Amino acid sequence: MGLGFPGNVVFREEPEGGIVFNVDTGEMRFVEGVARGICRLIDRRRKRNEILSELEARYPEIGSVRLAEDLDDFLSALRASSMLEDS
Amino acid sequence: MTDGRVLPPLKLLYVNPAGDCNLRCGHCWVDPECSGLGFECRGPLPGEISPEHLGSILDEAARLGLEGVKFTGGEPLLRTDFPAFHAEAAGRGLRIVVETNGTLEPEGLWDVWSSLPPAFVAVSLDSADPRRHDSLRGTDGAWSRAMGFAGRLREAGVPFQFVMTIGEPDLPAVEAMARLAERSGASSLAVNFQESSGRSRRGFFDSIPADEALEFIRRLDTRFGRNLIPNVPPAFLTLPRLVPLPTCPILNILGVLPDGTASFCGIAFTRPELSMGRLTEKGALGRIWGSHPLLMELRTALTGRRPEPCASCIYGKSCVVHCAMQSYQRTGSFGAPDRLCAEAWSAGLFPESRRIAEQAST
Repeated sequence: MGLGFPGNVVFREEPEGGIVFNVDTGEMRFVEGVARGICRLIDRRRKRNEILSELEARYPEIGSVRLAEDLDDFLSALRASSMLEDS
Repeated sequence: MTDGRVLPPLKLLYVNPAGDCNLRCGHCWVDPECSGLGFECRGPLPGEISPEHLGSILDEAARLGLEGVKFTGGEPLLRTDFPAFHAEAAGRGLRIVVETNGTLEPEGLWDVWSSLPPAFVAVSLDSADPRRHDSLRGTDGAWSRAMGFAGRLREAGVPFQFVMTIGEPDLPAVEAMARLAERSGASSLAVNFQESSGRSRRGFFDSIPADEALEFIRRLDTRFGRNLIPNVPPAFLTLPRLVPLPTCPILNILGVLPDGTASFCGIAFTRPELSMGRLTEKGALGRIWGSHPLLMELRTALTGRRPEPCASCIYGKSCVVHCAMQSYQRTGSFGAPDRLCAEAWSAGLFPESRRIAEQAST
């Protein structure tokens, strides 16, 4: 079971950044940097540890501990906003 | 609501203490009568609401979820008793916004704004060029008075923005206004696009095709910082500019006209058929908000099934056709899509990344 965006939540990327947007409520998060990278990996297939492994490969300069903290914080924030689900 | 749906909260009242104005702007969407008093204020006219009457409306609105009041018009500062209106609303702890042309200062204004400061004041200023602004406003001296007013807002620590209305894609004029806004201490510059409504006979989007309009909006969006706010549907703005999402909370607004008539906003100035009755007797506000057929029609139009491109747009449920009153004026339907959205959709210019359907491919 991987992590995914609910059906009423879309992730969109444009040159200026990305958004996670709830089309029903209008709630929105603007995402840049690692958060944007995390959103790219939320695809209903990858689990938390798989996403972390991908992040470690993509952002080696940040370090595993910091990446894990950032990932968990971001996933928690998305869950709190009903913008993330286990699928 | 009588059909079993949940009644939305009435969060915001648009209060119009005066229906007339001291200026003669050719682009005004309302077409108010001119007071003819130059830069002098006036007392209440027969039949106009009093501050005490507003107070009773606010008490009833509080039970419906009221959070704020926007004073607009007409020119709200035309009334000599505007400070009492402000005190009635601000004294209840409501968030107050004032839209003004900045040329009038009724006695006691700065005292009441000092003790009960508004959250925000929007000052209409159409050009950095004094002669151009005065010409558009039909009144010599309007620019210098508005700039003096802005200076006093800055000194008083009241956040303010400039609002310019443009009738054609004049980028240098916007650039000059953006510089002036920054020098003046304005927190932002809102750019409104002239509508063919009220006194205005030709709208911005009447003058150029959709592709040129979108290119102009793109230039505004990318050339200026986030303190420039183009008043267009969110589908056409870059993502960083959309936090928070700039939308009209039309489902949570009610307008109060100078005679106490309820409407959606100030729309009944030009569309009297959108009046919902006067808020004179106790309980009138609750009855109107709960079950007036016009409000029911609006709620159905904006929350039910919508036409394209709204049905396919990720902002369809938030943007709610951008301005339902403009939609009504143009088509007779509250739920008709914004003109620019509809034209962009038809021309294949609607941004792909703003379509819900794109989700399947990402």
